[in-house]
Amino acid sequence: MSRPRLRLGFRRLTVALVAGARLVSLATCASASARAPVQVSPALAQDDDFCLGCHGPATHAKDAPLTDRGPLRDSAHAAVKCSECHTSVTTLPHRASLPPVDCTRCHSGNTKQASLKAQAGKEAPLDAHSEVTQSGVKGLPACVNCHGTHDVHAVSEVGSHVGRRHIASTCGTCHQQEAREYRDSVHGSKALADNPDVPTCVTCHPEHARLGRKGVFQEGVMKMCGSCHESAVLQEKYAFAGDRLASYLGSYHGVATQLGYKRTANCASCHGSHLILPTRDPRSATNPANLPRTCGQCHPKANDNVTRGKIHVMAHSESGGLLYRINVTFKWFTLCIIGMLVGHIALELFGRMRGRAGGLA
Amino acid sequence: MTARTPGEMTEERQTAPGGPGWSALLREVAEGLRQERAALERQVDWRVLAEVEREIAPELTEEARRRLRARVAQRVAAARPEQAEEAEPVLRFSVLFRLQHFGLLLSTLVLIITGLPLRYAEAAWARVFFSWIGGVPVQASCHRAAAGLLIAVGVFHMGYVTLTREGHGELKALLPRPRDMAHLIHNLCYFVGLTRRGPRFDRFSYVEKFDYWAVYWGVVVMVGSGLMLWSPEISMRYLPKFAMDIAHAIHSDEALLAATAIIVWHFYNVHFGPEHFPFSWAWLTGRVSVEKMQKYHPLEYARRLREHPPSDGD
Repeated sequence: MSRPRLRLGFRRLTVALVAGARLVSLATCASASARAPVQVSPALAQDDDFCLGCHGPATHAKDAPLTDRGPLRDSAHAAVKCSECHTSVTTLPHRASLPPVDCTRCHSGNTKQASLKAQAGKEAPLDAHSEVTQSGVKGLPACVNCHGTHDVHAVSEVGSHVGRRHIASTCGTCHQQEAREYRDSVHGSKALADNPDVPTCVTCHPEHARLGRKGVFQEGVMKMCGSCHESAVLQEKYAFAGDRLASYLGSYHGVATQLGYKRTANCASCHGSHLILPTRDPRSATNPANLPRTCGQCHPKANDNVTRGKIHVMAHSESGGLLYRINVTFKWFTLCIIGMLVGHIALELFGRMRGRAGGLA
Repeated sequence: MTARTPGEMTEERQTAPGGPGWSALLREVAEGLRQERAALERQVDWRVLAEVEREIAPELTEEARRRLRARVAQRVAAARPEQAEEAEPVLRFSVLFRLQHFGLLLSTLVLIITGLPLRYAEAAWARVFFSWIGGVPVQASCHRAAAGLLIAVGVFHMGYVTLTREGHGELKALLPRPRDMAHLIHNLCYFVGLTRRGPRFDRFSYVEKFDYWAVYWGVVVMVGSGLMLWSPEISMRYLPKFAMDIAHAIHSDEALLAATAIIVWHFYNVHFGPEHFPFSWAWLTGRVSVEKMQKYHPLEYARRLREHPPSDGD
């Protein structure tokens, strides 16, 4: 951790030196602010140090936001010039308040750079936040609120605001309750410990994917949870129980969900959505001690009877025990009865062909 | 009026013509047969007439002979289209009987239609059905309403068989007897050609008895498990989760059995069978043609003739 800081100090020094060397032009800049506006020439636009003349730490002008290229040099945008993002600066001195930076200039389907195109997908990145913003609501986050301003990093980088480690606190800036619960959950506590398998906020709420009702909505949530919990590899690795999805789909809750009913239990109704804990944890919503209260959310006055019997019971496989035996018995019972009835009908039709009417009415 | 012994009767029948009126009548019938053989073969089952005679032979008094004569005369008249209209169909099912059947039919149909898709929730057709009917709440209401009707029919039926003379009689006629097993074996032998004649059934054949008791079993199982599932909040105050799971499994499995049995067996017997297609009207009119009565319920028909003989003027 100490190396970047050293480097940072060195760069500040460099910036200061460069700034000192250009004292003349800076004086022009400072005096320009009081006089007629100056057009930003293409050459000037390529010169970041010119900007730092006002915004830099050494000589920053009064009321100009302090910045330097330190965080930017470490970021994914190290090669990007100030003017490439701050395009609204066309004359100097520029206006006191600038419009927000438009990231879609590069991060959209129209860009020529293949890597950016792949990131952005075919559409310009749109998500729940920007959809709500477009509908006229103010105060929702834009790109920079999650991805950072100058310290933009690739998601895989440790420093990324939206990476595995920091996403919860980034989202938690606004979604405080959810972030707190997530950090306590079996998923969040492992994510903070850099576990690569557990879901983060954006695993279930993929921000730019526009999943809508395919997301963590009634029908979507079981697929979302199932995408990991039905994985044989993860079942083996973390020793969690299999057949969760199949047994849910066999229950009335799962049946009603499949048939389009929205007000029946899905995974999250019982297990929680953010504070998901293993059943053995006494705080878990599915801990037997808490189960009457959990079921009671929908079924008032639920009592200890909900703990007497498996919840995720497999009626159609051997793990179902008694239920499975009942089903098998009925299957053979049905086959025998229907077989006999069909046999009787067949014999009767055979008799009719030979001119013998059946004895039925 | 002279009493005759059965022995004399048998001899008389074997060496018919016996009494003067009797032989004249039979000769008349035989003549009619010769004249309109085709029509008679279609409409008068001579074997059945012989059965009627055999059935009441031990008690054949002058009065009985008079009745028989009248009946045969009626049959002969019926066999001559230009002379007489068809014999009137026999009222086999009372209004109460048909009412119960209709309630059972209606409730079962709705229960199967609204219930079966639940078992196949993962199938596309089930989803299509549910979006068509208006979703789970509508389906649940329809299913429970039909269940209510079924329970009402069941309660009504209990009253019918215990409190009414008619229902009591029907229940007695429906009780399984060893004879039914013999009839089954006899009928199967008849189908494959091991016997020349099939069994002669009374009011309810073994098939109808099977249908009745299958429904009995089905209603008890379905209503029992269905009531447990009706309101999980109430049930689970007293019952553990695994009991609900068992009720669910049984309700689903027995539903499939019942639906399959109805579609395969009952529908064949009353709809798709060659003689009934598209369906037998008996469930609406309660009436069965004399021809079918003689064919399928000869003993019942004979008893009806004995108990309610057609008067000469009929």
